[in-house]
Amino acid sequence: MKLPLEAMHELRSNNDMPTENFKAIKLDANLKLEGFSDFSSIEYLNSDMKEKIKYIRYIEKMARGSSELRYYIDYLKENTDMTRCCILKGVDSEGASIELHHYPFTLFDISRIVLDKALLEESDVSSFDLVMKIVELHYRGLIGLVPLSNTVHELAHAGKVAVSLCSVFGDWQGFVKEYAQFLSGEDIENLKLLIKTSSTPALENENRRKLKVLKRCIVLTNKGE
Amino acid sequence: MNDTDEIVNAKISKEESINVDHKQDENLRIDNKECFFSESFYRTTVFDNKDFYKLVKACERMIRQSEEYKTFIFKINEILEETSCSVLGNISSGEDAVTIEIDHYPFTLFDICASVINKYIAEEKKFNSFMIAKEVMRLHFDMKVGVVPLSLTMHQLRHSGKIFINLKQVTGKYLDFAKEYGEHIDPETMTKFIKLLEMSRDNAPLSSDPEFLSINHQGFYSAELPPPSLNLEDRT
Repeated sequence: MKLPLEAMHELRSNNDMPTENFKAIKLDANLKLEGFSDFSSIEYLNSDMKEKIKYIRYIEKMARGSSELRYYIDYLKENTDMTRCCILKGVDSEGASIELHHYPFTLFDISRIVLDKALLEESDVSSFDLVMKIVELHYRGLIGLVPLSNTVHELAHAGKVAVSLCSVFGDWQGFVKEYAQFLSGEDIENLKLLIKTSSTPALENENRRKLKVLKRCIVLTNKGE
Repeated sequence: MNDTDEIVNAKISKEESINVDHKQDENLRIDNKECFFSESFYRTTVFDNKDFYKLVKACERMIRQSEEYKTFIFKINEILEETSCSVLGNISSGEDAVTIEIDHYPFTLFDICASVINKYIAEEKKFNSFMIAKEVMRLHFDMKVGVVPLSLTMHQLRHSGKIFINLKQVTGKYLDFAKEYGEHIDPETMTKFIKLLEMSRDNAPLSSDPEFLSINHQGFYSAELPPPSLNLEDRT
């Protein structure tokens, strides 16, 4: 549909005319908002750790809330085998909610690492670019995920149960390879420890102790049968 | 071998493989052979009106939650400090402490997002909500969107179509937006816009009802009402 050009030209000539009730927003010589810097500058985060943490939380939240990540997670939960809690035997999506736990890197870790790369390599990058990169890594299969029931998920975040790297879906090692220089010393130490302990029976025993079902409940169930 | 090489090359035995395939094609698709559907990171079209509506809403939400949008609104508010409502000109955010909102007008944020998506689809370019949100935000920073400051009630009346606001009161190069995205703007929206242009050119009034927004007679100092009792003895 074409615009009535005559009407447009007429209006254009009056476009920025302030009225007595309205103080017009001033535009600079480039017809941009006066005093606006480029909207995609994040350089200031290099010098302010508190702001940086806030920004990481913000892009993490944006990624989590994006429709693309929700579709990805939903697809895995609905169309693949990721329907069973990898720690509590017999618990699956038919009987309880199953969540996909970001592991060994949390979504916060991933956001931090992606941001650090951007801060080093690009001075102008919008939060949309960063969130897009974070979600894209999921679709490329480079993010580790583990299906867990809600309670086990909470315990995992509190560090009260151990999750073996053997249970992880996704090429998280590919992520390490791609972002090697942006991993912190702590990230590397944690991963080395996890690799070392992932096949340790002692940790599995620790999970058994933590998630032990009360004897009383077992007896009651048997009686009920 | 350094630390990260050691991690990358560590052999980790998987308990079981998950039946999903990450296709490294141009749309970054995930697929399961046993399932009819797949999901992709980029798209080139929308399935139906419902899908389109959901996508536009997702973009709108992402924009409104973004730091960039907050910066934009902050800057506009800073510029508009002490600025009056465009309709009730004697009330301002400073002196009267009323809320003045920035209304997207004549094109709403929904219209703008929808037009940008339509353009991607028409040009057969791949896209996702992040790309749309970024482009829409770029339009804001280039001031190719129209904005008008309004008090809460006037904002509501504007959205419900009860009042007309002359486009001469709008700041922003919304005409550039209309030109650039003209053929991708929803025809119904474009028809409304043309109507607004004509009404603005003809200096149409705020409302067809000349009494609209005039002050109701509340009966101040009415002789029929007895004055409130000030007899202090009655209170005891």
